[in-house]
Amino acid sequence: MTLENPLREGLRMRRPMEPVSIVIFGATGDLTARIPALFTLAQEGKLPAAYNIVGYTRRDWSDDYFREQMYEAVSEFSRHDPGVADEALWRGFADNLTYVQGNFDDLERYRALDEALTELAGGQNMPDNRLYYLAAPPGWYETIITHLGEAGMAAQEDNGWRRIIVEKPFGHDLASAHALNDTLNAVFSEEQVFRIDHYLGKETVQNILVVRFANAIFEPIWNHRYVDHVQISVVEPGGAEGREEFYDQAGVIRDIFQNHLFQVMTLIAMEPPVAFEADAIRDEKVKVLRAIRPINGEDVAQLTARGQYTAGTIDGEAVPGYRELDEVPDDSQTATYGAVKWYVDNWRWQGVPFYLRSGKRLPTRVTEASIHFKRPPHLLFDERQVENQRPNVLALRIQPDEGITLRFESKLPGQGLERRAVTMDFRYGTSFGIATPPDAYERLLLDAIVGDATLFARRDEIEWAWRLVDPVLAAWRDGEGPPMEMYEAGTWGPEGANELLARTGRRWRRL
Amino acid sequence: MADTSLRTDLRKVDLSAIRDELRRLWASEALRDEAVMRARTHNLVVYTDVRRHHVDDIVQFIIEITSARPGRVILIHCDLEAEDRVEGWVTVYCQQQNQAQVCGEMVVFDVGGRLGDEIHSTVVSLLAPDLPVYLWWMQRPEPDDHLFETLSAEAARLIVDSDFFPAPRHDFPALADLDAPPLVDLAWGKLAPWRDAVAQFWEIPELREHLPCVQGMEIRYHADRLLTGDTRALLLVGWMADRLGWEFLHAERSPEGGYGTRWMIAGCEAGIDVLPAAGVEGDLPPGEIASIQITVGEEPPFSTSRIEFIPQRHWLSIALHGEPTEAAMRGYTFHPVDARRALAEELVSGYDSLYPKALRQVAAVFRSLNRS
Repeated sequence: MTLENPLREGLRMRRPMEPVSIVIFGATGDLTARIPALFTLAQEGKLPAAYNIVGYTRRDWSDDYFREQMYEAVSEFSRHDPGVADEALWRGFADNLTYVQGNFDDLERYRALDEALTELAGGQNMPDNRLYYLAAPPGWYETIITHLGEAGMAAQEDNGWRRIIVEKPFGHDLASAHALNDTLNAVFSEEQVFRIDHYLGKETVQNILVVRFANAIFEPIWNHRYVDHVQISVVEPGGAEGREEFYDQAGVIRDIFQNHLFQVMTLIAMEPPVAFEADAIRDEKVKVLRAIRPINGEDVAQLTARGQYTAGTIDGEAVPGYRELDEVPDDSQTATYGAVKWYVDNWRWQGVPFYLRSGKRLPTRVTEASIHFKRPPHLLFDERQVENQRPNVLALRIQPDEGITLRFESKLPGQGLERRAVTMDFRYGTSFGIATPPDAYERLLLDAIVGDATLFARRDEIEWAWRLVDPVLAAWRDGEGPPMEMYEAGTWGPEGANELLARTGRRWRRL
Repeated sequence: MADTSLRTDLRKVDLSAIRDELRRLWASEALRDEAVMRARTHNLVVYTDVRRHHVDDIVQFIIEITSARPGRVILIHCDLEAEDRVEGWVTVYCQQQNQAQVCGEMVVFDVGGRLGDEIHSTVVSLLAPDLPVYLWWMQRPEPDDHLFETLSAEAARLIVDSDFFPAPRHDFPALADLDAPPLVDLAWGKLAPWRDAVAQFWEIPELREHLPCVQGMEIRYHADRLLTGDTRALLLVGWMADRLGWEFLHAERSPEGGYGTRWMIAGCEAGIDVLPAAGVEGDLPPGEIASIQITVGEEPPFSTSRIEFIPQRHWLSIALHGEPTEAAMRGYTFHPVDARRALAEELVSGYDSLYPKALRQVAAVFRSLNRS
């Protein structure tokens, strides 16, 4: 039995963690996130006292060449530039980098990797804890997982645990997600699996839980009696450049709705969990997903809108239309904008629509959830102003300029009872002086190392989300959905999205 | 990177007009470049009795320290030997950090003679309502001091920095006996990464089982020419003693500076030595810990491990030697904490209740030394 460490208690700065070897499958493919995040963690002294980072790909690289490539990646993408920081810091980090060459479907190379990991751990007299990170193209996921199992690299042993991080996309529909999960669970138990949705690693997404459940003033009005509707938006000025091939297969629903938007929506709509623990929170999120009313058949045309951007102007620069991109077919029917009206059929949210939207090539980059409250039941003031009466809105800004805004009515100074809507702003940076918020990957990597799955998606979350979006995707594909509207880059998206709200006298919040 | 150009020009103002002047300053800032104070999280009341020509340095130091934490600072400078007087100044300041602008405001009282006892009501009237009050007493607090007594009654936390106590042998026992708000010691905050390192050290599985039976420790610290700077290392010992249930036996001054202390650990007597580091390179301030050597094992041959800070590399090296482990080296990036960071952390963190327990252990060591 492992003795408790009484010195852990009350520590503010670091979470004590065991030595670990982190294996990145596909380390050379996408260098923008994981290695820079790991370097930042190392530089801030947040990694364990002993760690190894092992890159595994098919390219014929040496350890030194791998380190050179990682240095360039870190220089470009890390919050801490190794060129600016002490060179010794990089050397200390680079000493822990190792490269193992191998194809993803070559079982013998997995055995070689296994030996290399055992040797690394033994050489440093550290337990053989392993964190596998699937950063390879999703088409290889099942092959890698299966080979890890066949090479005996998934079973937890006395001298070390085994965990695996899987990046989205978790399949491309319910069937493929189910198959991927079956493959995963045939090799790894669910406790060993950490499905990353980097949105959950963002400070402000986690703050949704704190705002809701650490304050007594919001929860009593967080229901259908007081809330008129909820809007959740993930919009960006960027296009699909650089990932056209993937994006044209995925589209906005698979890319954003099935994961990021549903993650935020479940945190907004969930019941209070019994504890701030992984399964307690994930149980409540799944209950929300189960309560969301599916949109089928003809309803898809009424409750959704879609669009695709054409050429336009963003920040004063001309940008091409989606179909003008190299890898995108001229007749592509992939939606780059989507808006969907969902209902959550439970006691708390009966009759309250949740409007979710996401789009590319919109004027600004914002992720925000806003709670729009009902109007007062009786207006005491000048009835001529009723039309101008703007309801209270509580907006949770997730990025950028993270914070919370409350809009309410106030009397204009002077005689009479002229009113204006004013906002009360809380901004993280202003209140806490955060120069650079921690990167989501940094937080999630640390959580995986200590085995905290709170901010990772569970199997049933993924599959329930697919159950909800599959019928929408099918209707869009089969021509039962709303028409594909073209919208000019730099505008707020298709008119159909505005009509989705206008039918009930509502409108999108200006972001 | 943060823009550290701060507007710190103090304006002399009549005491009765301080609030109006602050309002006016914010309004003029807003007209000038939209520097509107959008948040305030605390009141920080700072007391000092340094010589008057040092006050400007202290103002600048406090503004730098607090510029990342928006709040109202009230600095009281007392000169007991001067003629009776009270003068007030105000300033507002903003710091740009990426897209976020953090603003603060400061009121400075320069108090002479006996009026130090009378200033408390003015200070209390200027506290921002409904926000916690942190009282930073830059000298060792005296419980009989009227100003200390009245201001500490308003405070949610009392902040000191024991690194600057002139006579630790007497100051620590007095601090442990002080009837005051929850106590915060910036020296304890500076110790945080070392507490993390020691806790992390015991996460190594093959060492964990030996945690209850430490055979001995040697902590080396950076000393100044007078060989002082040992108290932070003693706080580290006090923390371990409290967490691990060590029973203090006795202590003696070491001839080379520092102390030798004896503790009852798991039924055996063990020595914990706190000694100045010899020939340490780098420009670390006195008090910073240089290395920790830990000896463990049920019976000989014991295992000796060493945690050492290498300033040139910002590196904490952990070397394990002999049974029960084979020789091995580990390490990670390590950044010492200075007073600025310790205070910034304190202004946003929950109270660390481990400090008073560690302090009691250190007080016991000093009381033993005082008796001998």
